[in-house]
Amino acid sequence: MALSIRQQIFDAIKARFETILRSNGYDSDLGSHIFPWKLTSISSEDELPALRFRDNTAERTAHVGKSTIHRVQYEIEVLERSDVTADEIRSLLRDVVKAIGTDVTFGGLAADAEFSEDNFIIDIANRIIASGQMTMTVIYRAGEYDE
Amino acid sequence: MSDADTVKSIITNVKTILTTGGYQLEDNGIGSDKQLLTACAVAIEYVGESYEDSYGQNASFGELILNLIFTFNGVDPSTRRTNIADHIHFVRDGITVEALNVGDLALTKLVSAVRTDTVEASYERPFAEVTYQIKIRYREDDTYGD
Repeated sequence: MALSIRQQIFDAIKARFETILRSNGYDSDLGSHIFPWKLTSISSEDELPALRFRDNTAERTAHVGKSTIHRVQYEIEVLERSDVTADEIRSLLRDVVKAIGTDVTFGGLAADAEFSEDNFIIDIANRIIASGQMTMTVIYRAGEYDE
Repeated sequence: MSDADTVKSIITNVKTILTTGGYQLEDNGIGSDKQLLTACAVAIEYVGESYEDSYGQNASFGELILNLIFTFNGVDPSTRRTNIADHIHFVRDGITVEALNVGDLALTKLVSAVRTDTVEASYERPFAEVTYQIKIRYREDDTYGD
């Protein structure tokens, strides 16, 4: 069974995030711990820094002719120990943006990817993990009644 | 040839011109370059028709109004501009009286004029769109009104 475009893009995003390694010119090794759709907490500090992402919402617009424009929104969360500085969280967020920016079409699967807002939390009492969240929208075109 | 058949033949010839020019007709589905990274999709919308009054022995004429809607990936601003120019002038140069009087219209040559009313380009990231309104004048069936 052929995978939907949405599934192929999801898989491509995961593969892209896995390239975030110092050996590839990034500022972190975030790519070592990628967790698609992991909603539970990180179990150990050994799994940090980590990245969780999920395709929460999607919007479809019928286009002229026989195509549909899809806008799938991804929530991306980078996680680090709570004693890190804001600079380090910013650096992780930058690595995420840089990785996506290497090819926003994911090899021709998508038309574009764009980031909107982000926010982060560090150094909160009784929290063992600091985090930064960002929202990315991937836009792609598919056939009528196709994903 | 009935006027409906004339109009259908004109549309067939417009489709042939666009397909030969390398455009992905939306009628045929989404095409291989789904994200329109290098290809351009085109939809043909039938906007309407208008008719001229005929006087005495003069033939009567109708004008078919079509919107040709081109869609392509326009994220890069410089290629967006050049692509817009290419698509607009492809229509202006390619959809002519001579090019339309072929196929079922080759003998009767019912198309007598092609004119452009409006051409508009727009961009909502990531897709750029050009809407080219073309008006194609054709000679109506002589038996009309008899």
